Amino acid sequence: MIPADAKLSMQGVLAGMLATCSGDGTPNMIHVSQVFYVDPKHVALSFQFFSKTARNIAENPFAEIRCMDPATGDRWIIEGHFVRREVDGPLFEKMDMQLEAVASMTGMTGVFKLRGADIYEVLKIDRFPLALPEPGAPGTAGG
Amino acid sequence: MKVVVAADTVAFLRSLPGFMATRDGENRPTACESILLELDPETGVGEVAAAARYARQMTENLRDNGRFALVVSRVWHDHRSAQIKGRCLGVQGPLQSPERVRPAIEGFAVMLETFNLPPRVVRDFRANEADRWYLVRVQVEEVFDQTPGPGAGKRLS
Repeated sequence: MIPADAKLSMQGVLAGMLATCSGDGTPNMIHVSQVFYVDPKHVALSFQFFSKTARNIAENPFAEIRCMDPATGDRWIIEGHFVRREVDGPLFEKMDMQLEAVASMTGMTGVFKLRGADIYEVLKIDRFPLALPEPGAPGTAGG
Repeated sequence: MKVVVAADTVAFLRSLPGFMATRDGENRPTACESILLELDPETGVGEVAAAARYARQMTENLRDNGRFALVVSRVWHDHRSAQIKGRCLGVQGPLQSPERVRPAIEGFAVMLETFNLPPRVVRDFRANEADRWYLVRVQVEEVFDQTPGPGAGKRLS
């Protein structure tokens, strides 16, 4: 279940990260332009041109997804399982429109092109604060 | 298997923090905020600092099978991106090493500042240099260009 305070990091504003692994056990890591909240149990990632990732997901549907809260810098780390790719429909159109805006702002018009909205089931999600713990806090030296 | 890595690629990979992906015995991937500290262009042997706070099962994965991938990307600027893949040769730490991780952290902090994030985000990011890091010795076996565009995925070494 995706916590409500994680949604801010899933609005496609900041790039996310996606770790996958091939069937023969070779990890792979890429940036993804968008991580999008779909519903309490699913997120969508922009599928653009990362063919190695597409092959990995076909062989092994488990992935780790990271996104960042733009207000705090905190990381949200998701253990996900690939469910399906949508190539049209309302979610695709929404992500496509936003990706075009991102491409325009970052000089990537003509390079960024949405080929699909990859839907992942969220198996587990954890928050990792960016700020270091205060000295003396539990789990720190002297705490 | 060792590779020769172009000096320009080494310099880029060392210039910013990236992410190191590992996987467990069931091929489930996980990642950790990491910085390439050193990479010998002739032998492909290098050292990566991996943030202990985000490491979770990284060290167990590296001891289990040693496979890793490290990606560095100027996603906040010109999107240049490169990835190295290979095997772990050993893990030390975690320990503090602010002077070694500082250049890459500072490089990214400057980029964050231009992205209009709240000042506390940049401040907290810089403070991470005082955190504890695992030092992972690696043998690089493959290098890929991952810059978005027609060359994405091209093998560089």
